Amino acid sequence: MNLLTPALVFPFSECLVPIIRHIDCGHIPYSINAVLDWRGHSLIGKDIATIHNHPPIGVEVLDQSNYEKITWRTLIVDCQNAHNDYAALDKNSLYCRTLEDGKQIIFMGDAADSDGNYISSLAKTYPNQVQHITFEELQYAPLIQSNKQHSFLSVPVILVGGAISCQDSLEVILSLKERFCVDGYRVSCLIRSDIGLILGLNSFSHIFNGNTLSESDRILQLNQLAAKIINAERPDLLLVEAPDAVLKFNSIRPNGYGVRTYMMSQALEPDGFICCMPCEMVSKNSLDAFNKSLLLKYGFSASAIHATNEVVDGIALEQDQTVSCVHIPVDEVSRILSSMPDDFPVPVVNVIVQGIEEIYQSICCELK
Amino acid sequence: MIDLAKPFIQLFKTPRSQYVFDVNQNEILPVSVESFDFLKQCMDGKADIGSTSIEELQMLMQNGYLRTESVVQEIQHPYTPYLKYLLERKLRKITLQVTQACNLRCKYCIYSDDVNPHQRSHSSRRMTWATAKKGIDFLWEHSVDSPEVNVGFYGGEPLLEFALIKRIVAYAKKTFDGKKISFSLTTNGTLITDEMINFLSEENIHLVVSLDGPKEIHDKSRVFADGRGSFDTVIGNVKKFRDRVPEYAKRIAFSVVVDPLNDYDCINEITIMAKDMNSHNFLAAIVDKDYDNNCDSLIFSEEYTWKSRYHEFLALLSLFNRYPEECVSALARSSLGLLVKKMNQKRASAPLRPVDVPSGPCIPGQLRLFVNADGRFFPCERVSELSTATCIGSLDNGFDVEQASKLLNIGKLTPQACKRCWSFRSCTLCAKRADISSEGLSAEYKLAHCANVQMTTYNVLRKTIFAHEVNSFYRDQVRLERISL
Repeated sequence: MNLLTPALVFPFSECLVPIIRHIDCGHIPYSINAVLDWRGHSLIGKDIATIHNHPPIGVEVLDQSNYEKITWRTLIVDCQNAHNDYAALDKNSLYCRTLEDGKQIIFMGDAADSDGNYISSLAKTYPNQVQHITFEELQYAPLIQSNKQHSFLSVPVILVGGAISCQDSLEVILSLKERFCVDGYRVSCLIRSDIGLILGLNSFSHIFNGNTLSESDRILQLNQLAAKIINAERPDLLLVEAPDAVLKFNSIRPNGYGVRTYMMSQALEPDGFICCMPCEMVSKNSLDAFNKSLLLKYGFSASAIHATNEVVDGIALEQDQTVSCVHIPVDEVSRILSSMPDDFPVPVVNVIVQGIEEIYQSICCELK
Repeated sequence: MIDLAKPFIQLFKTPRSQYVFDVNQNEILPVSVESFDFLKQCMDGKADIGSTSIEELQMLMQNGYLRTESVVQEIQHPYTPYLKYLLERKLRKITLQVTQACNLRCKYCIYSDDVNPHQRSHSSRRMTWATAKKGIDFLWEHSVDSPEVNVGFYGGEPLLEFALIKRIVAYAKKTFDGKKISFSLTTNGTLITDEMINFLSEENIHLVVSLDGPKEIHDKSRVFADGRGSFDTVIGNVKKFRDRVPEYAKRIAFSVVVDPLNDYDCINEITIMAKDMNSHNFLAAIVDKDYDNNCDSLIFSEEYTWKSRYHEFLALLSLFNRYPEECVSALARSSLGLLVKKMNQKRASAPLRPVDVPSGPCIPGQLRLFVNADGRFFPCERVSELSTATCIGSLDNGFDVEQASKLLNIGKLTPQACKRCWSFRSCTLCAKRADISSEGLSAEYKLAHCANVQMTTYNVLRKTIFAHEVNSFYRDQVRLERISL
């Protein structure tokens, strides 16, 4: 008998794909039946994995005209992504309608000020139906030492990030977590998005989102957050998602300079790094050069590569000076990798097709 | 006769220094007078690069410079295997030809029978609502990887179909709810009504108005069917925009088709005269007269040439804060802007690779997809709608990826010439320059444009070097002044 409450998530965001793919390992009381999104993202009526051209995972994207076609009792709102300047959909009336129908709403993560006030008023009016879950760092016991002191992290830290984007880093984190758990290890995770709270993952978004902290304060807070998580959850390993792309694309398009990841590297001094890199950029020479530059800039190099199905869009580079990608089928990645000489300095796989085992073994070797 | 080995380079000399552009490495290097003179002898067939004893040249050769052969072995665009996915998932702009009708009969218009026999003629054919809707749906279906999209309106004169445009905008906004969408419209500016002004500004549609210069220049070519000039009407309508929606009016862009037979100062008067128009928004392009493979049909008057060069020089000085920007011709500034863009692209572009492609073609269909009134696809509005070679599909049948791939790899039409061309990385030739409409793509037709492309590249590189020299010259001057203080 299925005791899980059928849920609808609003709105769609890229990080939902790995979260829903790995939802079973979260032991949560919901089954996510569909995702409600704005029509403009070209996903309506399609599987959510379409966004990355990954194999379908069986959850459809619906819009406001047809989201009642499936059964759901709970609306899970990703507050970080619920604000959209280009949308005409009135989300407040969606919330009201949901509550008036006697359904429940769970707001996940910190909301923008105006949204936050509205959520508070809803919570007062419908106390039994509205829940607002935010990442409360205070739930963790304070550190023993002064809060201005950089803490020693007592467990290995593995950073997972992307060369030019953040795609698939959460997928790698969740796959690794699952694999480590199979071998009996306890793993804690620290990621970019608040919607990960649904799986009990920790988020560092609040540290980067505010304007009040100086750069050094942010580094210290990241360090202390990791220390608190380790104190509270007693993991054997901490998996951390890099906050931005690690590679400066070129001198004209710096792509964020990897500045946040630099701050993270100073805060956590990772013991290993797994890089998600577009398959077209993978070659022995490029990986050698890439690792050298990582070592200089961050003090670590990549232990393994997840070759993503991204191909950089040259037109966008030239016209908008932005780094954006098109997604080729994942089978193509395997074809491209198999057509290359097998002389990579570190393991290179596509986790979606080949699984996490090779990366897992490589991390285990590194940690030994 | 001994065949002396020539390096694959191009030489440049300025009053201050001398340079070599190494084609394989895609780099401009300053060299000594001695090296330059020797390289010049090599290029003239009077010396052999292999025989040099000049230390500087030997060092360059040891480091991979001054190779005599192109490293390019095969012409193939790197995106060829991914073209299908770019077209399936990452369209960014669709341009709808809402009508083929136009109320003007511009003398250089490519749709006039007597101007371009390879292009369609003026007609009253218009896009139906069903076709337009299908176009928006097509963009929706093929833009999942695009963070934002644009819908453009083109003609004929698109404002002849104002009601259709309004309907399309409403539908597109609804279809792309939640995604950033923008609109653009190119018009001759003669049919503007108050209702149109309100709509265009409310929807923040990027408006491009054709305006070729002051009355005496504009009215030479841009005339109504009865032969009357359109200048007074256009300027009157622009004034209406300024009166009703002044903020929006500042964003209107003016497309200036320049005939270099005219006096540059005279053309330029429009940008100086219209002080309260935003003079930054002038987009100049030389009139396209190259329809019959007659590259010499475009004539530059001597006055035009020296005056435009003088204004370009002033623009360059203003770029380095050495001349007041407001005193520089907007046309020259616009052309300098393009130069700076090219210089940046040059800075970011890579050395030649064994499998490579000349830089001319866009990704056909992805950069902007032109959908004509019948729903047929073309890479842009500039190619012939009669051509089968440049048609890359239709709303009914989707993309013809194979045909698009041919346009992407237009360099394959002339592989030997392309591999040996020193302008490989700066080539501007796309399929349009190889298309003889009914006869398909022609290598001969394409090759006829190479000399012009090389001349343009030469000028761009020369200006790039000049800009670098001016910049460093003034930097040095400032330093000297500081030291003396």
